[in-house]
Amino acid sequence: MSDLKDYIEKRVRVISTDARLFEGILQGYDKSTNIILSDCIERIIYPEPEEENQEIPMGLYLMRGGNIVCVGEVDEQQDDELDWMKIKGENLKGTKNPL
Amino acid sequence: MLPLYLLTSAKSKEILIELKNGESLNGELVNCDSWMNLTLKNVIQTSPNGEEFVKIPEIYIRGNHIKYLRLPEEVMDYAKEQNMINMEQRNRNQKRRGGNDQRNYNNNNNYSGRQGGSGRERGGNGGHYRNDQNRNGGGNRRYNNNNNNN
Repeated sequence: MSDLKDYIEKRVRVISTDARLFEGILQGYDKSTNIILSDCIERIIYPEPEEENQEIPMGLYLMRGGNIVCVGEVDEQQDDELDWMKIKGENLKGTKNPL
Repeated sequence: MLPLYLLTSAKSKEILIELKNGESLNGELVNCDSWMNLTLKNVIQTSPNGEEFVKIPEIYIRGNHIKYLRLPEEVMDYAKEQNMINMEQRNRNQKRRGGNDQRNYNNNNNYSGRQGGSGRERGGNGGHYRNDQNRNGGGNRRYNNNNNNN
């Protein structure tokens, strides 16, 4: 079985079901994928070049498993080469499709 | 560290909760349980659009409605401290009970008396039994105890 054991104490990026991107150090998790992120920041990336990307510090963050889409490890080296303020991208879509 | 453990160490601290419907609640955590149901006090509830506010003295939130929680950073350090203290206590207890730590495997104890039954006697020798010397005292680990109560 694969679990998040390998990501503990590492910097991870989490996408939530409401299409938000969070980044933080994974401090703990459980069977329902509830996770603890310390030094968490929310990254808001805009598609248009006019709007500056945002990085909102959130501190200690406990996220409920039901709202997590994916958790990914951050490659520190690659990450330093990127300027997160300049990167643009299309907005993510939420997982709840309107009927 | 388990998320629910962190949450329990956050009791009587200020927390912010965002619910699935986008509402957010700011207040002091009174109690929590294993389903993440919470009771908060001195709560300020904000509507999803961030415009309306309501002050609520006490509120109960069902865990499955929570999207996420934000906790004060000190809680992390506090929880790690508690963890260390518990570990030390556990080690100390283990050392103290070291001699008596009977790991009883496949014990077959024959009692005359009632079987299983009421909560008080279940798994232990609480009730009225003639053979007191068959009591498994001390140790913490008991495997495959077959208590045959005739």
